[in-house]
Amino acid sequence: MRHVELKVSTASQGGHAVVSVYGEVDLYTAPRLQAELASLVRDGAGRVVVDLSGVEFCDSTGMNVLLSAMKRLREHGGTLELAAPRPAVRRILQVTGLDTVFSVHDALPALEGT
Amino acid sequence: MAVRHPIAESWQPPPNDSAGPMNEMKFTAEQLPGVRRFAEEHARRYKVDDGLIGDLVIAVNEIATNAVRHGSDHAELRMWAEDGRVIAEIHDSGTWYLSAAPGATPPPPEAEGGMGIWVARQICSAVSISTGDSGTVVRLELSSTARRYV
Repeated sequence: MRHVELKVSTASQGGHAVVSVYGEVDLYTAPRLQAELASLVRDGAGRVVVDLSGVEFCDSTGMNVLLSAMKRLREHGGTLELAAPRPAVRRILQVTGLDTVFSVHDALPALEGT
Repeated sequence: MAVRHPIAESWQPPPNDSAGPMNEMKFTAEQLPGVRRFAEEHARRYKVDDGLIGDLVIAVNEIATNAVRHGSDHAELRMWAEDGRVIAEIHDSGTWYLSAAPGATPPPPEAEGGMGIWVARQICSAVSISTGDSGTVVRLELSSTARRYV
């Protein structure tokens, strides 16, 4: 059985962070993304952009991880935005109705100071 | 007359005469990528429209996730084609204590969790759940050519 890895990496500058995600987000891999976002919340990140261009699939578990991180960031005046979702990810955003909850950019936005 | 189990009573054994051969795979949480590949490959084999294959994969993955998350560590996916539809059944050995109509209404706008069955209902033409002491079966039906949710 092919095992699909999820890779998550963060580039931070000032209070801004871009989280790049590669692979498939599901029940088994979502904790990896959750841990990365939780660490940004702990560090008091202001603006977090999640670059989804490398995500081939994301299920509702992954959506919940993103939603939960967005709520926690907002509690401290921060934001979480999604960028460059592929069609499969756009579809789960649409079917869950979360496309109206998240701020979704078609392409990765340029962050101030970068 | 033998006492019939609730599952046996409400669940007609697949496939009937008009259906193609049934295919199945056992899986655990770690093997959910394999479940998605299996669903995609069988959707292609059953001539599901290209634009609907992704939806089928999403729905099957959501219910398969529920099975290994809430039902039992080991679960099974069965798929077959029947009368222009694709049927996917997900079997686990847990008992689901059902609310009146799970997934019949959307979760609150920012609810966390409980989304899987709602997502499946948005995508599928029919979702049926049979649960009892010996396990839970969720049956998903999708038209091979018509998208229900736009």
